Amino acid sequence: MASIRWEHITKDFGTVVAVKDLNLECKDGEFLCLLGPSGCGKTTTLRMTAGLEKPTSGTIYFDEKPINHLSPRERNIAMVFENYALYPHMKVYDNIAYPLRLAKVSKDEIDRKVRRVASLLEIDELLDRFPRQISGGQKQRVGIARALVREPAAFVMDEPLSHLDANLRAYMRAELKRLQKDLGITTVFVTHDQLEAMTMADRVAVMNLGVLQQYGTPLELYGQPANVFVAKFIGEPPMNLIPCEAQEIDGTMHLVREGMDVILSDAWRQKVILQATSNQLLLGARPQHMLIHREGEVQLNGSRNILPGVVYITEPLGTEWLVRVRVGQELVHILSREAHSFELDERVYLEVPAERMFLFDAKTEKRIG
Amino acid sequence: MLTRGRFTTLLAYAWVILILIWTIFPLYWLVITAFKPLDEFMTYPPTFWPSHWTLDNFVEGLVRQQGAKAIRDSLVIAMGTFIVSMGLGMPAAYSIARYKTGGMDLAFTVLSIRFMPPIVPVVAFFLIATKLGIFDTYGLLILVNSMVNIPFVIWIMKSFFEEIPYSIEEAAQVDGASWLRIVKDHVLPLAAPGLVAVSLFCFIFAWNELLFATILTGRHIQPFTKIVPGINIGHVEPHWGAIAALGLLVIMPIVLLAFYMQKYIVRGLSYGALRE
Repeated sequence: MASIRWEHITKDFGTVVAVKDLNLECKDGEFLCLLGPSGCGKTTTLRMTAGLEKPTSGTIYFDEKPINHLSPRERNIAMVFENYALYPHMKVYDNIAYPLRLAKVSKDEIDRKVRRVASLLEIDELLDRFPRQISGGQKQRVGIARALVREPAAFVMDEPLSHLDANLRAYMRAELKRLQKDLGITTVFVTHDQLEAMTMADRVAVMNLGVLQQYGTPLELYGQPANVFVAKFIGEPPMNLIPCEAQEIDGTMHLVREGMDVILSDAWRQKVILQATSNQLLLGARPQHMLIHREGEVQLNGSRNILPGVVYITEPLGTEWLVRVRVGQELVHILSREAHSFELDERVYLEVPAERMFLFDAKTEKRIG
Repeated sequence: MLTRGRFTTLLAYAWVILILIWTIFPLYWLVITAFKPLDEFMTYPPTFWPSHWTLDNFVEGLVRQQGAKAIRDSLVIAMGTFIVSMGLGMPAAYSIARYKTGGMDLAFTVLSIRFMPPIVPVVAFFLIATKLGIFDTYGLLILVNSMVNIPFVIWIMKSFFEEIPYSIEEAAQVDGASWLRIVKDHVLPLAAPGLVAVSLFCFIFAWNELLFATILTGRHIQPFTKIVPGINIGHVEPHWGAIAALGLLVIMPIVLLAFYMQKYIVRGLSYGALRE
């Protein structure tokens, strides 16, 4: 068991800065996800944690002890690789037993542990096979078994689910989460899939271009995204962001753009005045939270946040409908539970409930609020 | 269609048999000559089967013409070359494959040594060797043969090491293996087909080598490739029987090795193409 802390971690490869001044913590027994697009520095961070890369500057602590100088084998970390990295010339049994053999565990003990972890992951039947004789999902479980068998201080996992098909991925998500909770082993998990991060992690660190964007629980990231990047990255379909301009008219603040005039409450007005660096803002609303009205269904009295638009296309998703609406130049996505039969190019009114609205500074891309 | 198919098959077989006769005939001639008595391998027209089989030629070749010592000399040189070439070439290949040591061009630069005909540096070698006092020693021949072999080892083994995913070595590191342990447990087993093929070639190159063996040796070291042209009856007539007997003896180990390791060699030479 261990807690892990990254303090002012920077890593550059020549001229490319992979990770920039990262400060982060993973508490003992916690499941931390490093989330971001490819090239965001999440895998580099993971590899530095495992000892496969050295930070250019900064310190990594395990249980408050700096470990920069320790080689991978001195760290007592188990890693699951994106491509599984099983030993192709060894049978599944020997793959799992390998870390124990290196640790000079007795033969009986090895056998007991390998069989226990194999039955835990339901791969008992495969112990006699070579990695090339088993499927991708099975390989992945062997990879996890090899990591698990050592009872390490921490797990680091590099996109272990990314090569599995959709069904298996959903299944393994739940399995991994349950396993982590049962064992209580500190886990750092790298993924580019926001759904994986949201569903599995206790805390998520969103990274982009080597910089930590936000660190918090999945619900914090969803409910209070720190900036435009996090707002767009978390949630599916991504948050709608509509550029607009803040204007003071007769002591009230309006968000104005072509065909749109949203009156802000006094509380919002105060926040905008205090936090915005210019009058260029982005109005944010999640597709799940927006309402869609037909012409005549809504009173345009200015008391609600209404955006007029025209229907671009509707897509039935089974339980919901995804409606794409053109608002000026922007395509806005709305998820609606009601069955709609909109005509193409039909005029509609979109409502953003005031309590579900986000505002971002268009220049700094930081959230206002 | 059927008849045409049968005809094509027949033609193919005929062609293969022709090629086989062409390649195997010298070997067959070697075998029968080795076992023919003295008067028979000299007769004209030649016989295609010994009238009676004898081991006289082996005695003549091995004992009277000092073939046994020659084979021992060749063995020492070939083994030494094999050890030095593999010992130096393998780590170099690993380093170039894994850490891009020397940049992109080093491996090719090393290989280009092989483009040079061995006759080119041999005079320089002769002068250097006599100056250093290492002329006519095993060490010298091992040294120069290794110089020719190492580029080959590096070039082939480099591509084998490159085929091993680095993440396997990283996984072993994280699992707690030391570098030496990783090499022993993973790198060498995974490169085994290449290792076997390259080892065999290294040995064969040195075993068959003639030029250096002739020019860089004196009275002490007499590799078999050097003594064969001097095996005569009297002063001029080659003793074909003894030459054939010796020839048969020196190709046997190579043929057996190659036969035994065939599957590795085929896999070794076609590795990148066939792997999953």
